[in-house]
Amino acid sequence: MLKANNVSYCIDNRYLLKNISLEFKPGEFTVIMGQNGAGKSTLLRLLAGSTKATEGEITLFDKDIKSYKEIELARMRAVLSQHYEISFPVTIRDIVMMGRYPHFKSEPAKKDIEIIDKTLTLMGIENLKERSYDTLSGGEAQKVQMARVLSQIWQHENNNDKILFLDEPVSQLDIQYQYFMLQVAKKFTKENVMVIAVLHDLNLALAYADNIVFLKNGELVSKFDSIYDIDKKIVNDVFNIEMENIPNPFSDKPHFIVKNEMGL
Amino acid sequence: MNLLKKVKYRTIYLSLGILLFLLIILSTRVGAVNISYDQIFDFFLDALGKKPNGEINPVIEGLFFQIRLPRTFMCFIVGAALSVSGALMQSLFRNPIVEPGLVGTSAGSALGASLMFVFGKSALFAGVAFLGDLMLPVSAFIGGLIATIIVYKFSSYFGKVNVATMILAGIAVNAMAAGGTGFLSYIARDPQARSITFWNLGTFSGADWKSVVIVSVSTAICFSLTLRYSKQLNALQLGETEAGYLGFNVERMKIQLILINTLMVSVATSMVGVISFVGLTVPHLLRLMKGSDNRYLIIGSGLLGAIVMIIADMLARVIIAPAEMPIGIITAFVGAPVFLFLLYKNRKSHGKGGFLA
Repeated sequence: MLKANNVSYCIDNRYLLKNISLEFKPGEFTVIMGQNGAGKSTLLRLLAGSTKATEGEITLFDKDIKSYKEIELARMRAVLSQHYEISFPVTIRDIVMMGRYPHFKSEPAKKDIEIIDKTLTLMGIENLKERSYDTLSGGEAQKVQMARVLSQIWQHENNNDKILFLDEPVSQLDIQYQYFMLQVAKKFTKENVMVIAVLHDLNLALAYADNIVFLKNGELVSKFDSIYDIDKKIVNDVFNIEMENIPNPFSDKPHFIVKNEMGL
Repeated sequence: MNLLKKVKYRTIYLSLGILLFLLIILSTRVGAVNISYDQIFDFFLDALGKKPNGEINPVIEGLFFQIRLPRTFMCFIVGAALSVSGALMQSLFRNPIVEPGLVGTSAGSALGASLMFVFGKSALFAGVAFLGDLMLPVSAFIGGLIATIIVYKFSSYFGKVNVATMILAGIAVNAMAAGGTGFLSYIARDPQARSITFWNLGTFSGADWKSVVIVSVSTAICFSLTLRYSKQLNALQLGETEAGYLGFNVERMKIQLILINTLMVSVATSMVGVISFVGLTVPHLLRLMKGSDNRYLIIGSGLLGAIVMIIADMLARVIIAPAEMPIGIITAFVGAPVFLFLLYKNRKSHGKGGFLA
């Protein structure tokens, strides 16, 4: 269980986040959305424990997140970011193995090697194992990073204390890769992993999220019990653009399209 | 293009180790006076108190034990120190073109050392006179640390190192340190001045057992500490935030590594002067051979760095024998083209982060 109690983040007398209270449960897929600069990534960093809240408290299993050591957190949660630059020729195997670094001392155990083989297979990139990272396409590279973070939180059974954070993980990917990545994350929620993702595409979020948290100017707009309650009034307010809810031919989930004229 | 992709790490270390051993023997033989294998064998018998097979020439024996042998070991240790430092700094700055000569560590150390060289016996430093033989390395360490921190602070912000700024800051700090060293060589009394200028290009001619011991101890400590950071250094290649997500305290690690690195480079520099490009070239040869795992780079740099330095020193002694040239000339002739090659390669992979990481 991950909880934010009245959390604020203030830097140079400016509030990037104000009075956020949220609760995340194992097996839940939560998406954080909002305009650029709304505080989405800041909130994600606070929840992941890499930035400290200036006010309020974030608790992980009823313990203040600040009281965890870096290595303890690293064994519980993994974070996938938007893109990575690596200056040296590193093999895919070595990069994915980095996900196991919090779990072994100097040499990987047999278990670690098995886990990275599993995640590579899951992401469909086992054939790239010996390739150098700098020769990959953007989509392949992000799959490798996904395999790395999944290796970090991989457990054979009882995954309920693991959290996967995705910070705009698909912003640079084509449509097929976008859906594939979120599909994989969704699969992990079935094994009780908590997934918290920052996304920009509303319909992509609606397709996978159990819940969507909207932020506007660092404040929580509203939180819903279910994504079915999201209506055009709220999304128009959050994104400051006119959208209309249309029937979704594949499911009963809401689907939004943007009105094409912006008065320019 | 990893030439030895399939070869095991252990095989590489073993081959480099054997090559190093052979070069150590060869290096003690060549020079203004050539010494034969038989003679070397006899010297060791004599030193162990056994009866040698042939006639012992005490002058050559003295030359062997007091000049050749410490000099070869000095090359070994300094070559290893500078190369390990190159590997470490390249990973720390996340950039392939960093080395102690470029970011000012060496020049800062040289300034610190020459300051002590010129004023060490004056009243100015009477308070630290108890350090004795360690005064020189300590002062070099302080100089090297200041230079490194200035360059690092200038070139990194938000966890990223801006390479253009780093190179420019490196130029400025190097120029400042070289100016300081130059100034000291002017106000120094003559014999001191001569050794300061010789230092700017590095030389192993002053190596004795005492300095070998000092450099060996500092390098051995730093080397074993560095090895413990190989996982962290690998993780750092993903970025500082990501290394943090993998459970490492990046800020603390950076400070510790800069201290270790500066100690390793400055103590070596205080004994032999500024030797550039070795730290740049050696890790790259290793990457071409097999890959970028930092554990391999650190161990490999220790071995290959020693090999390269011993070869360079032999060349320095042989090319214009019986005179010898500063070793820095040789390392520059070999290393600078490698540097240019790297710039060229990075220009092509510009968009992929190689250069601006």
